[in-house]
Amino acid sequence: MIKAIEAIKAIPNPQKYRYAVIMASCTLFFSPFLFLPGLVDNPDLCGKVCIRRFYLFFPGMSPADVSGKMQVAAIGVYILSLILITTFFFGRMWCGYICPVGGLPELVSRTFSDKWKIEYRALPQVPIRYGYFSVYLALMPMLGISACTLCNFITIPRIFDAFSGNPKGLAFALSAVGLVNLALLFLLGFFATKGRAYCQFLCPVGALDGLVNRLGAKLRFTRRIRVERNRCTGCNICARNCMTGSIKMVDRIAVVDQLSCMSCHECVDVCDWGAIDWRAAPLDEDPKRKKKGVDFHPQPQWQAVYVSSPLSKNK
Amino acid sequence: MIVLFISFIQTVNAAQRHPDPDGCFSCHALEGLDYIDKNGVLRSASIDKQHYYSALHGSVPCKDCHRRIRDYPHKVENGEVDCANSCHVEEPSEGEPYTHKAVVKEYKDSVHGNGWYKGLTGGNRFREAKEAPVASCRFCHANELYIREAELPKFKEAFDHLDSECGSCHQGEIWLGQFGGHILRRFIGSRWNKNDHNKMCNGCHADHERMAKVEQKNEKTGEKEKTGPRFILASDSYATTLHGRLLETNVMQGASCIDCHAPKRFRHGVLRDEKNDASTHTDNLAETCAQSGCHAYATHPLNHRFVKTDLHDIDMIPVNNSIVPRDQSRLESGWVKALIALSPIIVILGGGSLLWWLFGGKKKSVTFSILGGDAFQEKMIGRKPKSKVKKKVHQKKKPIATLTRKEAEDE
Repeated sequence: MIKAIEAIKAIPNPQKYRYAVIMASCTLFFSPFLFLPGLVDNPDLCGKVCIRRFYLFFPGMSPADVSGKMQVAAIGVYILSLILITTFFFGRMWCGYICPVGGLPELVSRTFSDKWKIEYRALPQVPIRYGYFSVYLALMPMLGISACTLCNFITIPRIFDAFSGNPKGLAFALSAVGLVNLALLFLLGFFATKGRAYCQFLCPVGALDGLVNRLGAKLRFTRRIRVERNRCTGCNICARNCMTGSIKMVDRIAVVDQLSCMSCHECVDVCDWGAIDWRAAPLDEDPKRKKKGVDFHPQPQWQAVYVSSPLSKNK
Repeated sequence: MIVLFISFIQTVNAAQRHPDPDGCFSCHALEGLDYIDKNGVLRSASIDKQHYYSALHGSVPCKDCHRRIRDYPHKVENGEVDCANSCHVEEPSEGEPYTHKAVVKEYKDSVHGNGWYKGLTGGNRFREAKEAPVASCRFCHANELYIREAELPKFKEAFDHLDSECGSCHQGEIWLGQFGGHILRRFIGSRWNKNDHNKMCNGCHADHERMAKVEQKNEKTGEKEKTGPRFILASDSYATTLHGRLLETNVMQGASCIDCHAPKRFRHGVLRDEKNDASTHTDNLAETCAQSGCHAYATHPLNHRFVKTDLHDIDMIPVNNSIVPRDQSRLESGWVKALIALSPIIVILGGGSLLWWLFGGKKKSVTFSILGGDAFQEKMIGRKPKSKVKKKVHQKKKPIATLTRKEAEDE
């Protein structure tokens, strides 16, 4: 118990707020309250509010077919557009702060020890994600594999249904497909380091959102998690804490992969040197550092300060 | 003069909509016309005039269906109805009396074809329910209101403009009087939407115990066999599909049961998948899915697997062993195999987490996962993982604060 309280105390304050927002959105989106889907008379996140199906591609599709699909999931179309527009300007706020389906496994995963989890962050997530995304978009529909079968937008609401006493939720959780989905929730969520492996690899909304995030990052005025290279000490605490594995240490400098970053700000909170921040434009516009012999980034000031300070006192 | 003219038209219309040429209502319109039948059941022979006139067959004289009644009082048995009889109105294109014969033929050829379609009386409903295991005409066609109350104002308004709109092509009193209303009802007053269709099918098909008793003829051996979970739980598996979910939330783009199982002609021809003519036969699926307003691209050659998507997938629903016979084939499903492969990993990780939480992890150090932790350190952090670094004997260094100035300069 004491251990748990200590662990909660150790969470940086801004992250506590983020967790609270995720918990609030779980209450708003899922049973028993179902506030937001309830506004449009929908019992879950499927059907007319689905944000994952209307862009599936079938060979021989006509514009009428596309618009038909969009009409069926009209509310989903609005939601996804809103998500992508906010992402373009502010980074992936939906994924990092609101999405209850990605957020719940993350929160649960954070309560377990990192030792007994699977570390997916070292895998080449960009090729895997967009490889799966293209399979999801075109191959699965063509082969007649229902995109719904592996969708965690069904699984997680159904778990809440089951706990709220809705027999439908229990029925799904006890079916063969439901059980495999639960297993995936455990392996790609609860027992994945930081709990975001499904978001990293399988989520089609995340894949689209990542593309928009990368596109927006090219512009100077959009806000993104960016590293000030002059300040980075190479301590790698940001890379260790990054839940999506989008920070990689390259030559002992943190580099952010904007295709995967969710702007969750955890790196900002743990960096003691203010080297990484959610900011509008990159501060250092110098060309990429050269190798061998060239002073590619100035020696950080802090080293001199740190070494000289005790000595100066002796003087 | 105008008032007189209008009242004349109204009487003419009223007479057409309220026919009782045989005077049946002189008795049956009386309230309290009750009797006890052979089975000892109290039955009412009273007919609510208003209700009857506003029902689907409200413009049809009673004797068009109850043909064996020639005079009154009549015997109860003579009230029998045969749905395949020709009746009431003349069909305008051929000028012959309209008949349900074609509908009944389609129904007779369907899976429900063993049901009753003649000899129907009010008194044999119980016997029918016992003896006929499949849906007869009146399982589905209760004589419901001709036009729903909510749609009546809309219908009336359109009916008032019938002569100016439909009448510009379809001229003549007969057409307008006899068929205009019928056709208009189809456009406006249509009573049933897709959810109503599903409700009708689910009236029987969602009843697991009833469905478990159904026997189907094996095409190869010719013997009757019990059906499997796929048939018994068809209604449940349908509800898990997007088709079912959309209709559940009143999005009418979803497909109802008969949209796929009886999409053509009179929509009574539900056939088993194995039959060559069945809309759900593998050869016909593309055409069925590509109906107007649905998956028009289904006929594209690259989508030949798409049309085989299982819409009654029992892997999506739990099987209740008390109703459905145990079926070993379910264990061969890919989902079950995947589950068997994934479960041990979850057990190991779950158990490890629990034990670690209870007994281990006291050391305050950075922990890396047992699975993939080393790769993470190497690739993302760019350092050799501790497990790969050879242990060296380190000399203890004095902390900087305690160094003398000379020592510090040397450092």
